[in-house]
Amino acid sequence: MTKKIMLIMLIVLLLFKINVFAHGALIEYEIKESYYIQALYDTGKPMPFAQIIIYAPNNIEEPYEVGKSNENGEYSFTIDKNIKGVWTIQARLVGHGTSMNILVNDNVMVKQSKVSIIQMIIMGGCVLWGLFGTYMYFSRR
Amino acid sequence: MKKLTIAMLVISTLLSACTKVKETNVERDYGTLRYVANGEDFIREGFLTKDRWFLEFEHVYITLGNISSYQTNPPYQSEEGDIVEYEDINSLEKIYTVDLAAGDDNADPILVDQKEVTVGFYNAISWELLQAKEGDQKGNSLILQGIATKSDKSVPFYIAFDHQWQFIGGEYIGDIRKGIVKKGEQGEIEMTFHFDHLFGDGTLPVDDDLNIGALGFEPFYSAVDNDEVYIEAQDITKVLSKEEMKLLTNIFSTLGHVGEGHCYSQLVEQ
Repeated sequence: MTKKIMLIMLIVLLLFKINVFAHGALIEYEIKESYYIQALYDTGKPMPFAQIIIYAPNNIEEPYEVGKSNENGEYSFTIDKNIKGVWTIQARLVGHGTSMNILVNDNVMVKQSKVSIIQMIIMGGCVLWGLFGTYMYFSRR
Repeated sequence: MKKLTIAMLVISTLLSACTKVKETNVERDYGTLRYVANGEDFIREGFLTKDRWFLEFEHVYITLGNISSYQTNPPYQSEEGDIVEYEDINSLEKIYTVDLAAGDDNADPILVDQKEVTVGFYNAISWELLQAKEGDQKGNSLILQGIATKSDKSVPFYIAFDHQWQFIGGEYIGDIRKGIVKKGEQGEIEMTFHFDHLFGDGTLPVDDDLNIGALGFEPFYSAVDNDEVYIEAQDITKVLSKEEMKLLTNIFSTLGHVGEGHCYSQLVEQ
């Protein structure tokens, strides 16, 4: 009986969430992707203290982040990978500007077929029928 | 067997006809896209050249044609050269001559034309610098008119060019993002021209890459006559040396920008 009661209590504990008040600490984390860029002139020289503007795909009008590169044209930033689409990074300084794009997706290639299932069945059937007919033709000879 | 074959053909034809065709006539939303040309503060306010002439512009006539705006995905980058793929394109049919110096120091970029377009983000543009076919600017693609001042010298100048170039740029790079058209609203796309590439910038060091690649004003001043610099396009080769002409050709190839973004450029055949 005791064993049964203990087993039932264990099952209840596993099935239902019980709040336990205790004094403690925890660490939460999430994975973010950081990028390092270096803004350069066409000549290869760094763009010192270039204005960096980042646009996210979910708001193409307002900057997601605005910053300044260091004297070597270097800048680091973090992208929210939950926002899918094309991220644009612009760098500009005194009459010079450039941009680059980063595509954030699920890394799942979804190839959209331009042919419907019925069409595929028909085409498949026609090919098989043609092969069969060819076989019959040559077998008669 | 023959009947069976015919039956298969008939059935497959009927089934193909009954296959649901995806609707392509999707109702689209429209807005207005303004196409503007901008000589920037260099033209509006004047500027100091690399050889210490201060130029003030009364008129800068520029002739543009074959202007198209694109929605590209992935976004077009000028390193790619020609635009091969795009999701949408809108083109202006005419050739336009506009004055980049029109208005005062605070004038807005010059409106070339505007058009009703489908909504979206127009993140690429192409245009051509062309010789005007008619009017006072006939035969010229660019005319610069103004006053040049240095020390105690002050001379009016008129310099005409007939270079023809195509420019293709990606998204505008500047203080704000341009090219966005929403339903029933206006968006703007810009063709920018950097004239500091031609004359240099006296606020930068003499050995700055921009100044090294620029002509300055002095080569044109060498043609001064009766306290005036007047050079028609066909006379440019008489005023400039061979090396300076090569430099001028290179300068024109870099004249077109999209804000501060660079463009791909190629000569337009005469």
